[in-house]
Amino acid sequence: MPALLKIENLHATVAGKKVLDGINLEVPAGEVHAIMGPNGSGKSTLSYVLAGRPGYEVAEGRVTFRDADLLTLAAEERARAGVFLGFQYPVEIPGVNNVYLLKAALNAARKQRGLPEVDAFEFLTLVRDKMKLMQMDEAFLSRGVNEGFSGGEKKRNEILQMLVLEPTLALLDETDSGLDIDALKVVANGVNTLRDPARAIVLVTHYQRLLDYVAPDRVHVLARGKIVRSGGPELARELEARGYDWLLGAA
Amino acid sequence: MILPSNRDENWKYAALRTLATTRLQAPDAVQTVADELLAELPQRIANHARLVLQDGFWSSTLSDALPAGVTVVRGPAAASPTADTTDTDRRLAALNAREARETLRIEVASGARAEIEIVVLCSTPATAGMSHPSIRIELGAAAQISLLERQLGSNEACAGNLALSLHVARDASARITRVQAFGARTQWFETLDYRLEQNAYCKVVHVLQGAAAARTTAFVAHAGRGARLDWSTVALGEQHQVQDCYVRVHHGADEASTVQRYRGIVADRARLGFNGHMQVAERTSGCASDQSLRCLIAGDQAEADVRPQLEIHTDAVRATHGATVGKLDADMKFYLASRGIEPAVAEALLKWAFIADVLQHIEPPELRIDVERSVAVRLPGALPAGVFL
Repeated sequence: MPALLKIENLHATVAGKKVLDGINLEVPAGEVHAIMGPNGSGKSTLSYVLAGRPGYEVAEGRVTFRDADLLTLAAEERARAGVFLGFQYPVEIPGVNNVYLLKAALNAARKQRGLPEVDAFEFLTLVRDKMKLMQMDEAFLSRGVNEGFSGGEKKRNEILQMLVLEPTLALLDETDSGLDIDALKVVANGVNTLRDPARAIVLVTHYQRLLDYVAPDRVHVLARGKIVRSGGPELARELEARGYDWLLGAA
Repeated sequence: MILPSNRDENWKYAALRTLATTRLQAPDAVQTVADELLAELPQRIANHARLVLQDGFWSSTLSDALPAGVTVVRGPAAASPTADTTDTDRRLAALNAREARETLRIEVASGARAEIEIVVLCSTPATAGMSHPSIRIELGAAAQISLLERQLGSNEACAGNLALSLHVARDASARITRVQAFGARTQWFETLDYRLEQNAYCKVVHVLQGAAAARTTAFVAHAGRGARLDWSTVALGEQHQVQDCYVRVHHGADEASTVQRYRGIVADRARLGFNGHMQVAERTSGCASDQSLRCLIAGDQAEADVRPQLEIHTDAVRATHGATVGKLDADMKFYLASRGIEPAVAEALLKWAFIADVLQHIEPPELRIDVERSVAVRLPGALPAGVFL
């Protein structure tokens, strides 16, 4: 199957410091890939580079998304093209309410796809369905984006946004961090709902536990800015048992 | 009369250059209000009687019939009682006292309630003189007023100098929304004098968005035990606008309290200034002052000066203050971009978010929405949060 996302020899710097040092990765449509690795290995940087965060400079390499050059697009263009970043630390934006952001984001994506804007009724029906799935209270809709949310609520809100926007490529940066076991199951259920032969999901995580609920097709270990090992789901279990040290020599 | 200058401490950031060359006398007569200005008169707010002052003169044609307790007094002698030529900060009020031709007097009897909209029009070219609107409001014991002040003007180069005094008797309350939306060439000065007696409450939301240069000088005196003030200002400056405010609150009685918020957004080459001066007198106890002053700089050549100023002469007080001047948060901008929001819309949304916590204090809701819409025009793409659902 052709790769939905293809990363070739990607080098990137942050504030002049090299963080990604030649990443090669292919993620076909329909698959879930997990990126694991120790702290500081470049996992979040990879997510930010793919999402187009300013300040994360690509020094070398190429990223192709649906056969187009992803790196030439601005962050908002990548989002509208179907790339979604689920943040490790979602920011709070008091004064901009959730429902407004969701609707504006959805309509921006629909416009990109040549679809008409959703009307208020259609939109609310959609959002309520997804909120039910994420076990979120509707009161969250009228609150400021992530304003006063607990860590778990913020992560649920990220997945809610993903479910509403239905991206082609979801990059979930440590979505499992800070979640208790019940919240983890809810979030995992949301992620699984998005699995689709036309989509791909990249899970950035430290731990095996999310992968107990969202079974990956492939697991990659990132260390010192490079992918040092790739394998099937069994690799994640091995990492859980042995840690990362045994692989760091390969970096 | 010696007028304030930028050498005076509380006038450092005001735009005063044109004041020296402005004809300070009131115009002998007002011009006919231009059709475009009439067309701009906003929708009425339910139950609020509309009273219109054009260039300082009562307009019977544009106003509703005078409600009970409202009178128009002829002559300059009726102007603000607090005008004082020896006090630099009050000299413009003194000028108003000298030049005002009429004073609008609003008296709300004890226990009564009034809902009033005052429209202050500034439309006569400055070459014909400076307008000097004069307003005096008296609230009796336990009276209430909902007051909306709208300030509008033509696109002429106009100049105005308002003096407004408000006396809130014991247990009375005033809820005031002030919206300054003058034309782009207007020079505007105003002096506000509020006096709050025992257990009086005054809530002010002040929105500054128009004029070439505007200066508000406000004095609030907590004269009675337990008097409370809730003051919020939103200022939007762009192009070469200068919006400057000096608000001095004197806590002269026990348990008087003030909450003050300022949110400014300054773009292009505009300049915003806000000086929140809190005074707490000797021998008072239990007073409280809480200031949150924030300004957002949205242009490389924009300027902001936000100053909390505490002058406390007693130990028995609780005072907090915070003042920040900064740019839009890069993390928030990226978050919105990552959801497909265009940068210009994201900026507008974030600017909206910055001022929303002040605008939400406007009452009643229909007035809040009305004000939000007028502000939203300045921030294209940022629909008010309350409008969507």
